[in-house]
Amino acid sequence: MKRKLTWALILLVGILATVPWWGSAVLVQFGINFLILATLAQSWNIIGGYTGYPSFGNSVFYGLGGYGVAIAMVQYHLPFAVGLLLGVVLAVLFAFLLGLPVLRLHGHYFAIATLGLAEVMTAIVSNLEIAGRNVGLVLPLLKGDTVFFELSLALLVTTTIAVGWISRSRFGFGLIAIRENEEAAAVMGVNTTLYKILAFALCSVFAAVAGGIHAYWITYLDPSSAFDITLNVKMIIMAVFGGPGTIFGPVLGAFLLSAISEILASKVTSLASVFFGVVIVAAIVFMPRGFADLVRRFRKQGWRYFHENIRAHRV
Amino acid sequence: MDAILEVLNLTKRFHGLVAINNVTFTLERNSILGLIGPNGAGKTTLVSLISGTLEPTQGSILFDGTRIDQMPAYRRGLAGIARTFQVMRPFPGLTVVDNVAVGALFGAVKGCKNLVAAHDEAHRWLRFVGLDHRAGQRADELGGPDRKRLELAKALAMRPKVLLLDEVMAGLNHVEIDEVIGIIKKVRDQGISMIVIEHVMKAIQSLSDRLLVLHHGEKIAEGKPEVVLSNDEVIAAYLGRKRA
Amino acid sequence: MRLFAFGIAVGLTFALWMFLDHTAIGRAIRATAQNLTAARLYGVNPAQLYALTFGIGAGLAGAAGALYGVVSQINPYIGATLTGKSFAIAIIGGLEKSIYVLVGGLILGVVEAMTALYIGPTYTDVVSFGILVLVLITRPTGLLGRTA
Repeated sequence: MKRKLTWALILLVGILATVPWWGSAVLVQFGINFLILATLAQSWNIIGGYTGYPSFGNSVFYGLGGYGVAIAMVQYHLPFAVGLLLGVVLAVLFAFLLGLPVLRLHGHYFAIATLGLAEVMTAIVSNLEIAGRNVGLVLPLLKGDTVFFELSLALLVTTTIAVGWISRSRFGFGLIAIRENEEAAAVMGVNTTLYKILAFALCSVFAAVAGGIHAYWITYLDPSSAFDITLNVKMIIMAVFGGPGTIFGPVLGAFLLSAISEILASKVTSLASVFFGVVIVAAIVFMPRGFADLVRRFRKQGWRYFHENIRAHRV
Repeated sequence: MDAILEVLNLTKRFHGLVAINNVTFTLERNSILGLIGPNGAGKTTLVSLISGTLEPTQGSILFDGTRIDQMPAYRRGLAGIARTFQVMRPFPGLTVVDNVAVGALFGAVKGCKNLVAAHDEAHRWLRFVGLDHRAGQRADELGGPDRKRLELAKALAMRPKVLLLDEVMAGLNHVEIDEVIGIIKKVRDQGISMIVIEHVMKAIQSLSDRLLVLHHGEKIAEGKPEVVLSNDEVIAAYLGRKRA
Repeated sequence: MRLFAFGIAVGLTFALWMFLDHTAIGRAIRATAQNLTAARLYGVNPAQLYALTFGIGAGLAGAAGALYGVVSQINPYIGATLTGKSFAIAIIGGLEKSIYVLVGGLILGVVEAMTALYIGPTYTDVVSFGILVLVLITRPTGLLGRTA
């Protein structure tokens, strides 16, 4: 990466880190939500954007992270860090055990299978005594949003750095090869099964930590909010909107969509969802390869970019 | 001469259909074995069985003395077996040089460890097949003959000991065929043993040290080209009736 | 009244099957699903066809919603929960013929009722989606579909 760009990013992160001291409470809360969603989008990027396996099951990792923290803190009175660790361990175990059979499927079938897994986990957890069944758990309160803001920021930065490392490593190259043509990749020496599972496990780690932070922040957890299925849709839309398979695409997508959603909610409250839907559809029609791609190609092609996208997708 | 690849009693059944029936042959080190036969004889199936894309129903395959028929495809790639696909399989979204770099990175146990070295290797093989001028283009933008060269470069970047070529000359004109023949000879000079599936007789005759003929999944002839090509059964099955 | 709703649901499934199997447009839809390029060469206009298929799907979903209102309560949010279940039913039954989906629905309905009775009502989702995942892993074409 170019030197100037690196320094600019470091500066940006530094500025962001100071937000809790000068921003309004609303801004900080928006920030935390955005940071967590961006982390989720970025984690999906690993299995969906780079490896090409559209997972609808990352909400499971998020929920496991949240429940790990909740169970550790509420049932066993362990500190937050231990809770996070528990959540991560649960998520990674899940990724390995259930990733193995499910990653043998491709495309739509994989998506539906992961969606099924997400639903199953929601249902299972709502039956577990230790997780407080359907009622959920109430976590101890930690006053002040600042800590959570910084934690979430650190998490997003870590996740993005991880994705950056992937994009220039041999491992990442293998993932991209799997995405482009799995059979050819296998014949050329890529251990596709291992790589897919590693990618899945990697994204589970980040999603779980995000879930853990979120649970502690909200101080309340129940199955339908922890394993919220719509989170999957949100993170995928954000990653795809921003640019799957790129380093900053998901972050950009998460930011833009969160901002649009916030603005719409505050200005046009009643029809906010409708407008949001319109934005998504327009995005898919005009910039299906994401915002990052738009930025890259617009310089060369100008307005023709949109024209070509429409034409490329005409059946 | 020792054998680098031994196929013993190999059979492949797809539910009811017997695609390969009890085929036994050897590939000598540093030699080229031409694999010919009418369409549907099972040539690509045989190559898929050796490369690991398909698993055999019965029989065994020995590579350098080790049994490989139960190994997954990627381990055979690591061991030193590379193949090209008749229906070409590039990585469409990646550039030409990236396509070949995958082979350089993963294709051998002593493969490149980082992307920079892999790209250097990739360029080297692209020059070898004469495709370096298109290194930065997307793989799915290439035309037919260039795609074949890309397939070849990808396989070569894996530094294989055995290279399986599946109809690399299909659809090429005379000039292009001669060029590819030249490249294949250069590959043999590098010490790589090959099995070449071809219908282009000129290529088969000028390249092959030995020939193997498949018909309906069975071996009907194996041996030196002059002998095999004058075999009556081969002529009846594949070459057409002998001209008086 | 519930029997009536059931009857209509079965009738619609039958109508869909007749449409897909025995009309020219139905054939066109199936052909396009299997091989878009070849279908185009035979004169299919994919854009129109996709629009038509989507419309039929939407229409059926609407009918389903109406029928659901006969047997159960409706609110603006049932769409989300039912979508998941409908995926499960379609996949478990098999995507080849509409009759397979009907059978899938019956199977799942019985399984859920049994689960509610013998294990507990909170486990119905676990079983339904658990079966979905198992079917996807072992027989992705569905319990009744031909193995690919």
